[in-house]
Amino acid sequence: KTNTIARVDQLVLEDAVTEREVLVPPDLNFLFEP
Amino acid sequence: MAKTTFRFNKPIISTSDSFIATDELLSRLAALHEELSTTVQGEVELSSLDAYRLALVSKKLLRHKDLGVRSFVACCLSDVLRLYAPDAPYTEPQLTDIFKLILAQFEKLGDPENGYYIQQTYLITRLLEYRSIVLLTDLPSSGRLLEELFQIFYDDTKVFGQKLFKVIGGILGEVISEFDSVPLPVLKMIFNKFLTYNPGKVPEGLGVVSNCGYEVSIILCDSYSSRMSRHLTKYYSEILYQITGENAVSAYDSKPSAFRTVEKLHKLVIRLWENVPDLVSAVIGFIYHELLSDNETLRKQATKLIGSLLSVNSSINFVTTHSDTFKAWLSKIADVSVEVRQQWVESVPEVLSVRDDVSQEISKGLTKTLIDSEYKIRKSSVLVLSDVSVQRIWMSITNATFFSCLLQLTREKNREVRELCILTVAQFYTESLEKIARTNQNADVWEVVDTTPRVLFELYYINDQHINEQVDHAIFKYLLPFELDNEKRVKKILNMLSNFDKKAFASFFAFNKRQLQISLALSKYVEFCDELNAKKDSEDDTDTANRFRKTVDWLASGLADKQKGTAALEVLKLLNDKRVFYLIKTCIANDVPYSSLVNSMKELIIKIQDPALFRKNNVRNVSNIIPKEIAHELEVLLYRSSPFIYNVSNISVFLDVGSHYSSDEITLKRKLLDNIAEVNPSLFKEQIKTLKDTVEKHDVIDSNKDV
Repeated sequence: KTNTIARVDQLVLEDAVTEREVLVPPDLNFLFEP
Repeated sequence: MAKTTFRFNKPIISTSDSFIATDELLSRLAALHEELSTTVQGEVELSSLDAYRLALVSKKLLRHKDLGVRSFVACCLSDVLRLYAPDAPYTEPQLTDIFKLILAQFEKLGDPENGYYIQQTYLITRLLEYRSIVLLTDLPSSGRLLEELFQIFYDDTKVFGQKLFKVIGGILGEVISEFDSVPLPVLKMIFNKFLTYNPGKVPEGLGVVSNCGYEVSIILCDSYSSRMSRHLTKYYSEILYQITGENAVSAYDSKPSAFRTVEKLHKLVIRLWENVPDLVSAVIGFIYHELLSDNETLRKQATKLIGSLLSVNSSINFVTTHSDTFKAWLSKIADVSVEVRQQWVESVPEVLSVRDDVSQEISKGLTKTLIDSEYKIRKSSVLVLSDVSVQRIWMSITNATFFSCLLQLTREKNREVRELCILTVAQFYTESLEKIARTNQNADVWEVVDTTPRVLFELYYINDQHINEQVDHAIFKYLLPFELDNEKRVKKILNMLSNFDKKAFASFFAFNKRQLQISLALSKYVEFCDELNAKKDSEDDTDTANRFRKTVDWLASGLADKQKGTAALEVLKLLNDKRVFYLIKTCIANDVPYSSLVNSMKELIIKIQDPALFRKNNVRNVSNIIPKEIAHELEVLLYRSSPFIYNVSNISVFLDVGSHYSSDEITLKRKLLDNIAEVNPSLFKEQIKTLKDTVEKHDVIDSNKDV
């Protein structure tokens, strides 16, 4: 009998950033450079 | 008791010596019929009838050119058979000729205007009443006669009166009851009628014309179920064997016609289950073995069949009546074949929608298929929530584990499953809040469902642009849809945050902090567009042009499709539409009231897809992007750069910490206010008076305490 059930931890993506890094965009310094 | 002597004594066969005109013959036959029909069996001296017994089977009468003569002869013969019973008054050849005549008369029943309908009706009624019709079964040619008999009544070109259906059904039923083995063509006629005629499927508003064959099939299956069960078993097994008996596996799969044949058999089973469910017992064994067959396609078709049987309305409960087969069907969630497992899942929505007695078994199965090793099955399992109403889902799936797994799949590696799952849980959560009351019974499930917003906000940590974009969409389409009432809108925000943990709050606060940055970038983008479009020359190396390109790159870098994002922003510059730019600036303004923001965004998204906009500004469609795509890219940017959450219209409600708010809500409000003070304190400038009043009120309260 074949096992048809997967392990959930094999199906899902892990976090790639931390709380300090989440949704932090690049800086906009170029807008204000002389 | 002395028997009576038959009184009629006129000749009925025309001879050269005694010619009988047709009219006279009809008159005599009518009189003979009248007396015969009123003669009681056992009370007449049969010898006085012998002359007519023989005369009636004369070829001159049996094949008389006049229909009326033949009709009356048939009627008389039916009574002769009755009166002589149980003795056989005719030889087999004679009886064969008699039944040929009788069948010809039955044919005329399908033409009520033939002139002798009364006689033909009498004939069929008498043959049934005294079961004389079963004599047909003893003849050498009984098989052929049986087929002809059924062909007559199953001929849709004929119009049989509804009042005759029961009699016809009885005639056919009595006949086949005498056959241990009914020819396959006859069985096909009976059972195929369930496939070709379905009064329940007639479009609404149209009348249903009765169908003799269909009604007869119903009567046969209802009134002669014991015999018909055996016939059905034979029918099903013979057809199934024809396509699976020899080289079953390879032969079956290589023949599309075999697939269609099984499909028809299964459709028949469904129709029988709807109309005469008792009969299905005759073939349930075959279906059970199909579920367990070595052949994948057969298992798949059988799985589909059971799903249908569970879904259709029937007077018998399939689950309790055929529990072994039901259990075999449930086991298909673990079938070695992906196709079979897929079929099982696809059957679920319909079953859940119509019955609640198997919810527990099915929800257990779904919990497993949700984490099937094959992504298509996981996807189909998620789709169940889209295909079944929210109320029904809550009634049927009471296992919190299912919903826990579902939320986990929002992180699914497979993009198809993930995207469907994110959308589905967002929709389900929103609809549940609107429609599902909280009770002690569903508290466990609610505990999981309530975490949906937190789960979605934590998807940002995967740091995938496609995922981020979809989460944005889920938030603003479902968690925080456009709501113009300030109180209701803030209520939604607080409810969304109510189950947040530290991690989710971090991404939430980051989202709102980033909003200001993207807003700044987008406003600069518009500014650069104005400057560049105002210039007559087309220099690309100016400071403004360089900053423009960097700004476009910056804005596009956060989008799922950077190239599309870049193209969209470049087209917007080419369009150079004042209204478009005005609307963008309105949406992203820090002090834009919520209603203005919503209205501007709606107008903008519609306008950007208007072909007239491109014509008016003399801009051809760029080959690598279309207006709809431009609208999509712009929509994402606006979700991120517009103050939907930290909006000036919300601040006054956030500041309201009156007694009608729960302590949890007040705590959340303060948390939000703290963050707003940190990232965008200018939003408070419109609230100076409110804050001043609050302070004064506080002082008054303190003064009272001192007194």
